[in-house]
Amino acid sequence: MLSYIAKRILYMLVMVILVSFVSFLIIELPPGDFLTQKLQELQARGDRSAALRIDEYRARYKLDEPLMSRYWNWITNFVTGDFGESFEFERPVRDIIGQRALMSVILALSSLTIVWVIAIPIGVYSATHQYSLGDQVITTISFLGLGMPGFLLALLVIFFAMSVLNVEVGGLFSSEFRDAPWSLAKVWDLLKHLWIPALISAVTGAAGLVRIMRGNLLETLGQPFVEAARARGLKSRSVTWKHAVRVAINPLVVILTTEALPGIVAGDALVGTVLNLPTIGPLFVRALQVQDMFLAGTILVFIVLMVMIGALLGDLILVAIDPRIRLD
Amino acid sequence: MNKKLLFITLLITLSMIIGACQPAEPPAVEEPVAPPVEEPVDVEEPAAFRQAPMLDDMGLPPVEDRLPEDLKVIEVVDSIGKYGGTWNAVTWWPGAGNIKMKFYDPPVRWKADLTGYEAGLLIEMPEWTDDGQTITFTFRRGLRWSDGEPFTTADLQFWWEELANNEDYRTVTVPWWARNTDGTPITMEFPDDVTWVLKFDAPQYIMPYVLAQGFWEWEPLMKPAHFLKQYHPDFDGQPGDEGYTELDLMDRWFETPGYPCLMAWCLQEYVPGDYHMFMRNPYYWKVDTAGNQLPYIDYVRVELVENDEIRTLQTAQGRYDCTFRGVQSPTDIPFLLENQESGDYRLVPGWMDGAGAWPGIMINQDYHKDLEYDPDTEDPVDAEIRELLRDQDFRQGLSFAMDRQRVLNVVWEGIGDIKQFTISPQSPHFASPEGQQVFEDWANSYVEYDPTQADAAFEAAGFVDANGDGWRDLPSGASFTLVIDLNDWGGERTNTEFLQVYKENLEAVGVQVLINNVIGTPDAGIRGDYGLYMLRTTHASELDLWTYPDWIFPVRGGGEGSRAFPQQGLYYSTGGEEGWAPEPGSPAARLQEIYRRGLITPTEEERDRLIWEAVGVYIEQGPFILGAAGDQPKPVVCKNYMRNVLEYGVLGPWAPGTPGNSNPEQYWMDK
Repeated sequence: MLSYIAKRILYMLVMVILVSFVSFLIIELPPGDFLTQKLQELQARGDRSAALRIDEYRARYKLDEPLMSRYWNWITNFVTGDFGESFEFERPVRDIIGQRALMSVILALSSLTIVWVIAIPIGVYSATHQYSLGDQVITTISFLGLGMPGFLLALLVIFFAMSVLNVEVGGLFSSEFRDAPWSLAKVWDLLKHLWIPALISAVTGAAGLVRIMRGNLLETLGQPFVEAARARGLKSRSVTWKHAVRVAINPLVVILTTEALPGIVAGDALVGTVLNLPTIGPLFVRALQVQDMFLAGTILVFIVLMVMIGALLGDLILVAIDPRIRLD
Repeated sequence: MNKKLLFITLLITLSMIIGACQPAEPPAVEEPVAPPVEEPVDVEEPAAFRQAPMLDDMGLPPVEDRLPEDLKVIEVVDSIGKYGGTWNAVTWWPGAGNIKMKFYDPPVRWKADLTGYEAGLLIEMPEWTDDGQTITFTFRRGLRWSDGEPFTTADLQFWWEELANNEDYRTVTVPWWARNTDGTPITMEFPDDVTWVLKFDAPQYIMPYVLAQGFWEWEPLMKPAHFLKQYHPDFDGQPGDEGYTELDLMDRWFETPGYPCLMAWCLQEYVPGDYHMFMRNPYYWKVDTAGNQLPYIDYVRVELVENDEIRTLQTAQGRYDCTFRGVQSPTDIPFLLENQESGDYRLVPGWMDGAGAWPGIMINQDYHKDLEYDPDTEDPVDAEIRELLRDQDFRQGLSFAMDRQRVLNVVWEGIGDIKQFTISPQSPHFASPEGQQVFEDWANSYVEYDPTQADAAFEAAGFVDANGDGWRDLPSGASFTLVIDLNDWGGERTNTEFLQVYKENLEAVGVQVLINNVIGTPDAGIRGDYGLYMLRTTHASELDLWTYPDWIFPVRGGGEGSRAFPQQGLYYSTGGEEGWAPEPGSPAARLQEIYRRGLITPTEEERDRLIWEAVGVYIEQGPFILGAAGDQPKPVVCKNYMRNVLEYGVLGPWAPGTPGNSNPEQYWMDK
């Protein structure tokens, strides 16, 4: 068991190095760099001397050095916890990610909890009451949720929140609390804003899980061991939850661990952008758009790390809950 | 993405149009008010001075001692204000460009009414020697940085000698305007604390006005020597490259809290990606006529909201006290009007985009297909296309084919005017009655929608359907597709909707059109900057054509941004080393010749006449850039308690320093 984990961690390290290099290369791939875009932005506003100052900027962002040397500097410092400097914010990447990390975790965990608390019971209900009116309604709503892009829903919800509920939209705090120190009132204010992103991820995220849960459970419920359990006179509820769900939930465990962990780093970035959330997701999108190399690269490395840690955790949890699976 | 918003906006607009049929007129389409009366030159200095209450307990010297001998008395727009409050504002640009526009305070500055320039940090406008080669600037005596240290020409000397001309420090270099004709740095002298002398090797009449443009020209010179010496390797900083890296990191007034500044508010706190907080400068050198030291408002907080939709919604909710560029599109005006009561704000009238063409289209006179141009291997078809693009009849045909009324209705829901490409209507070059006439002629040239005339013009250019497939072909008979580059200059939505209309217009007169969307592609910059496009969309606005000549004078190119003559502009800027030489008598040759004369012309009136002469080339031999519409208003949203906000300005071009030129230090909050 321990040697298996050690082996997996070793693979992970190799993978992270590879991914960091490839992602660095890909971000670098399109012609031009951060400065090309910055210059265009300045020129479009009539900054006549912007182009003539290009060498100053190149020196500032060290873009005049070759790719390999920039990568090497970045990755060697990375290990020591120095992730480089963001071009756009002109501040260390660590500070920028750090100040958004807490909100990202809060948001990811709360939407995760909501999604799972909603999805599993509904999925089970839907499977055990196949083709009932309730199942039909749930199915219809899940398909809507699956089909609707999160950012569109976000736009609709904030417009509703603004015009009907008169809630201050955008961000996670209203203006009176945004710079205030933490207090009960501030937490309450946070909760008043948190429901919008949480609701959106619940609708878009839970839909898929409901369908998977329903499909798997339906399959499991038709298997002989379930029939055998029923034949022995076990309560229907206990058959469903203790025997069938435990088997049917396997794929969901994998989804939970491989999607939820990276979700903490950069959850639904588009929804985050639309809602102007102070989380890492929108930061990542923007960094990719403007070729803010070190910021984008660092977030990407963390996402990959989370995916791999998630996969490892997922495998270990499966072993724990399903005796049929063994590690080799 | 914003379909719903769009739909609602449409609904509101519709209701506005219906409403407009009744006598009541919607404020959004009101003509801007005339520029306010120019302030008198001499404002009497108040007898006693007062300071903001927040400064009372800060252990500062008395306010009389903090103010300079040569202070500046500001005439307020409406009323003498009360101190206090935080001005909440918003930006979309993490690089803080938009924020800097509020703190516009250069030595020579744009007047609030945009009719020209006035002295700011200087006691009076700069003086020239008779040969025009030496310029003397005299600063106000007794100016202080926000930490109380004196500001003298020694600070400028530090910038010039220890930063700009320091070979080891590469992030501050000699500015483009501080060079002799051979490219070497000019001579600067600093004879005393307030006198700054610039010596050029040729007459130089434009340079002082360059310092007044936007935030970007004066900003590199605004260096508090006493503060930066702590980090400079040649003074108290760490030696070598590490020291220079630290110096570069600290030398950012909008990112380093506590960085001494000369502006009304200086940076107090910066949370990257979240907000900037600025606090009043206790040593600010301006007072109102009653002797109150400015600014009235204690703090300015600017938060970053990158998403346009959210910013618009938040503005409509009344989250911001006064926002000038927070909501960008004139088409949001109906939505903002709808919410002005619940948001407790007003749309400040008189603020315009200053658009000469929005949207517009450049017709590339130097079209070539490949970055590496070689006349010997160039495909003859490409050369023929270039000839066609240079054919005046063809260009006029393109203009007559455009249904500008339809563009105005589709893109702007009727907001703005139909016009040909010009620069900003508010430009001081055209302020005189004679100038107005020139401007009118320019704006009305080839502007009518007339497919028959377009047809005749195309016939005259030999641009006819030779093979009978229904589409016009090149004069040689080769088939031709007009490729129009769609970029996001002036807004992606604007250009997309515009080209939809224009494509239909052109197809109706037999021109085969391909819309080439380059947004977000690497092509966008390269094709545009190096002139590889046939036609490309644009947004044209500028007030001073001598400090920013590109819109009508082909004097730059090759990656530096250019307009209708990229290669011939490159030829001029490189002194003939690169690019294409304009043919004698050609439009580009005439325009460059006028520009050369302008640079050595000492008086503004004469330089204005040269601008009119250049406009004459655009009228006689144009059009080179097509305009569809222009002069749209811009939504400026201020809470009802915000006082002294000037009701006049131009927000499209950033060069005039708006809204900073309208003295935000005398805004106050009546609550």
